[in-house]
Amino acid sequence: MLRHLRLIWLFTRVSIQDTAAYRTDFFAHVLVTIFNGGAELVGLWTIFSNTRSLNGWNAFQMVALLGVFRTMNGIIGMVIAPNMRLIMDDIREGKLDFIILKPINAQFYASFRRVIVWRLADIALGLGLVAVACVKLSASLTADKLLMFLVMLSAGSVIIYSFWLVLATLAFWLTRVNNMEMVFWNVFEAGRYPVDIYRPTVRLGLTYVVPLAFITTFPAAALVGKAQASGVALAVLFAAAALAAGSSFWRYGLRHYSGASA
Amino acid sequence: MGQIEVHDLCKTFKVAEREGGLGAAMRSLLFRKHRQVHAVDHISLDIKAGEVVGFLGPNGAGKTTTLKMLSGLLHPTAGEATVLGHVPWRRESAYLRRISMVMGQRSQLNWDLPAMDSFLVHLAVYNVEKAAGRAALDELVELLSIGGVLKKQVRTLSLGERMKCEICVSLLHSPSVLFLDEPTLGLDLTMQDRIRDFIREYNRHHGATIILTSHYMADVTALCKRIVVIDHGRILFDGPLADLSARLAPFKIISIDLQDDVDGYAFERMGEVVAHEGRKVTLRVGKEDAAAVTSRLLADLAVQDVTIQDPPIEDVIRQVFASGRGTHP
Repeated sequence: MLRHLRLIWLFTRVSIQDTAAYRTDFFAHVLVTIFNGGAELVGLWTIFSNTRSLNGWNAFQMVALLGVFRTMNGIIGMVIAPNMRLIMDDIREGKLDFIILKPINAQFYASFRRVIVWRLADIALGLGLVAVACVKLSASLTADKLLMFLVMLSAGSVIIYSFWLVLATLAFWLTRVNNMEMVFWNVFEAGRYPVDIYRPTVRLGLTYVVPLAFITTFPAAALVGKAQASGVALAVLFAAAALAAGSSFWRYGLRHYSGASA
Repeated sequence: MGQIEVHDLCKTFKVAEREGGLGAAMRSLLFRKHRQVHAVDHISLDIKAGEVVGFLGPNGAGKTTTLKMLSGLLHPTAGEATVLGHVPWRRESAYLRRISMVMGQRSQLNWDLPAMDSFLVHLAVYNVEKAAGRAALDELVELLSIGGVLKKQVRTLSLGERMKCEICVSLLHSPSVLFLDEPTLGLDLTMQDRIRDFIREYNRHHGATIILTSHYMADVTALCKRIVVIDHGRILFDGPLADLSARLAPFKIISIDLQDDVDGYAFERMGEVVAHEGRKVTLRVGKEDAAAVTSRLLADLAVQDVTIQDPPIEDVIRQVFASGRGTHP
């Protein structure tokens, strides 16, 4: 465990040097992030100048949700998407061989070898929004809500990682899966609103098919006091199941790749 | 007991087959025709520690597939193999830690980073102890003379420099068995030589077992005392380089320089005429006939000079593959 943490730290350090070579990209990205965040806030402000509540969510609860959305966006963009993209490229170019031949767990290595450091800007902005919302909602904020929020956020991260792992693993059979990434990001946009505003069928899809609800709505709901302990337990269970399913699909993909299942 | 033992190893791939054209493409969406390709067909080998063995064969002969099975990347369809006492395709980390694979046409370095960063990551991933890692790195940098390029982005290196860095990174954990798949591919002659010198040195110093595939004859003749000729997934020859031509091409090449122009002499009755330009004639003759033919030529003609040689190894190999003929040792 300690060794794995040390490796993650090394991969991160190396990645920082990698991305430091592209300083202009960094500043451009920070600008885009600030602009996006601003536009989202303006959007919220427009909605809430017409109504006091969106399906039970008031303005600052929505700011909290927006913060979670930004944070998750950052986590996906910083670690999950770049590594999964690398897996797809490596499978296509036959370079996954080098990963498989390393004397460490291939899934671990393939999942953490690249970190896009400047996506920290999204996470900072996201957590900033969450903090602002917390201050405004401080009257009702309690330690157990904060704890539930953190657990929900972790569960959400594990779920979205597993989802992407399945996408990347599909590359063992389908050589071009990069288009699916576009589909994901378009669907992900829906995550900035609580899933309860969508129709029941859409809501079900956004909960269990593309598990957006677990990633954005549920953590925010926990923070603003809209979640039950049972909901948290469900999220943790779902995360464990998703991780187990994603990992076994990955292992199945590897076996297929090396011809063991044929 | 060999360090690498292989018994009747087979690998069969199922390949989808379709004809060209749109219609065929549409049909193949629904009805796929498959064909079995026997990439490796009952290969057996026994390789001792410290041996340098060259796999020779044309593209698609099964060399790389064999290497991939021995390194653990591929599961065989049938047969057995142990390397260093491990079954390779179980990919136990105790095994992976002791082997390495270099693929001439694929890079394992991060192209956006200086090679040094990839080296450090490699050492950490293999959990090499700090002092040992430092020593291995210093030695390899020295032997490969890449001290000057370690801090340069890999993307900006020349092909030769990059290949040296690829070899360096794959040896940092001091593997006991090394699989080299076309390590000199695309390099110029000087660089090929330097890579060969390095591999020879490395084998001498560390006693590592090396299996090398190449379709450059020079790689194999320069490095390997033992040659395994593979074609269509089968071993055509396995033995010392010196025996290869004797076993597979029992010919001698007789070249004569004549004193005068000769017309009408039936050289083709003596053997196969490889070249006949002015007063220079080159014949290929069966090994056992070489002496008789030579004395016949000397008796019949005014000969200025005569040489008798073994055929060049390239020709031997080309001939073997062209005729699809081979002998099992």
